[in-house]
Amino acid sequence: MSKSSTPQLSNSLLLRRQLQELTKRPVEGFSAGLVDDDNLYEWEVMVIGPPDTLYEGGILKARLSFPPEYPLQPPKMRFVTPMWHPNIYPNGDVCISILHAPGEDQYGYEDASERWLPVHTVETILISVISLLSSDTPNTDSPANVDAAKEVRNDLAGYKKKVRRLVRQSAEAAWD
Amino acid sequence: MSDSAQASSEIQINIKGPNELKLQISISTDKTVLELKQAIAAKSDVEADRQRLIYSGRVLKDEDLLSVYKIQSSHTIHMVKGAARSGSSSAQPSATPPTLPAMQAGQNPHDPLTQLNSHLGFGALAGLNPFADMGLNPNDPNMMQSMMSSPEFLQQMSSVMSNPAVLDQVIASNPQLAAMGPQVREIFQSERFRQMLANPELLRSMLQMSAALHGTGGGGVPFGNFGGSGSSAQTSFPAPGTPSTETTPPSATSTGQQQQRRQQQSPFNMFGGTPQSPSANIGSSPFFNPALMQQILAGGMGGGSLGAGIPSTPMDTRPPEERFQTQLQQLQEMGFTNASQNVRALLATGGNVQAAIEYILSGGGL
Repeated sequence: MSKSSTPQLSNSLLLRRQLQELTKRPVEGFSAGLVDDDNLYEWEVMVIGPPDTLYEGGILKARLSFPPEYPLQPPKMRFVTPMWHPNIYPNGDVCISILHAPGEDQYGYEDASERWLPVHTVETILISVISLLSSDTPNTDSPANVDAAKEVRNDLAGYKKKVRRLVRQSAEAAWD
Repeated sequence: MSDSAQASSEIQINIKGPNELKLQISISTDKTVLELKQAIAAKSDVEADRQRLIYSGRVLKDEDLLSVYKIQSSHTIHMVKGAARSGSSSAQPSATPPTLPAMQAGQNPHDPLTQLNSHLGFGALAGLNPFADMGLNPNDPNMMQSMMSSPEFLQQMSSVMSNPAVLDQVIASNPQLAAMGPQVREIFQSERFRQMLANPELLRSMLQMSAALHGTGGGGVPFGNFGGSGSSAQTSFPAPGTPSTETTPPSATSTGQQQQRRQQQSPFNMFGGTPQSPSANIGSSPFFNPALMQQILAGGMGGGSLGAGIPSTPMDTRPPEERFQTQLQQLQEMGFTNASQNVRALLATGGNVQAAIEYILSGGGL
């Protein structure tokens, strides 16, 4: 591979390296690969529901889309598996601080250090997401899914039931 | 998708399953996923129809040939145990079966590692991530060293460092760097510094110094200084200008300081040169500046008084009590009441309150 400092090339190197590592020595809790072998910027991810949580037994499918500016700009993560969580938009987009572009303070309360940094990798993103799913009571401040947040506050049992059902469905869907 | 790959070949696959289950299976790529599952079932107590195999972000389908998924030898497949396919899902409406996947440390919500890894714990571990994509364990010094000699890694580092936007982020995310003011940018952008970063020898000694500073744990964090805002940055930055032992009088110092002295070749010494002339003088020892020498000796510490906090005032000849008035007051307010120890700590750390506190707490300056 020729040495070039164009961002395009260096970020594809960065992504390819991450992909190789994750394929060879996958990290506990998720599995990642390319949607299409020729496109390093679209990844598909299977999150294995963390044990001892509502998501235990679930197999959650998601997509990671890297912008051409990666690693200066964060990728987007979207769950394909239907999710019911205050920090996940109804369309599946994951709303966690480390996936928010640096600089803009869209949400008003985040520190620059909590937002995206070029040192983040697929692994650190997924670990953050798994930890998001692992927390007992989701954070309902500035929710991405207002209805889910309301339910967490007003009817936690109902919320949990709903999540459980989706998790079971995700495990069923994994057969097809 | 075609399975026209090469002729079938025998491959070795690692299976990572629930409860830390690990298996190695030899199988030919012209076998189906179902056959692989049966092979796994023979070696474990998980029946084939309860296994879900996940590789490269996909759930493997029973009827597909392994070659379809381009699995290669020595690659790892996740195995998740679930309800059998035919099992009526409505029969057990609420609880999931008790024997579901267990993961290792780091994923359990009650595991302290998880908290470190979470976005809230960012800075504790996330700062180390330049290495994560290489699959290296940042706490293993040997891995670090082998990585340091990888040209690809070095090239990556250098291209990252040459991007001003990255620099801005790095500097902004690290209070210590931010406090150093505009010189930091110059240092980072200077050819010398980048060469330094690209010099495996220097990086290695930096690594060693960092390991020494951290005792046994956390060996691989020299880059915490660049990437994160964790405590590592504070411990390895306070005395960048530590001068050489031969010329400084021995004094009662903490072990940390002695370790720093032993690392005379450390690249951090180079920072010592910046206050006088940031761009031209990087790399020259602070020793050749008499005023600085005087200042250092006056402090009686032998420790670099050119800490991160005062790069712009190396010639300040006011007494330390006056120079560090605000810092001293802060230390007082925080309950550090030994005035002379405070002064010595500030002298040793160049007026950096954070570093001075660590210095005092580790028993320095008494």
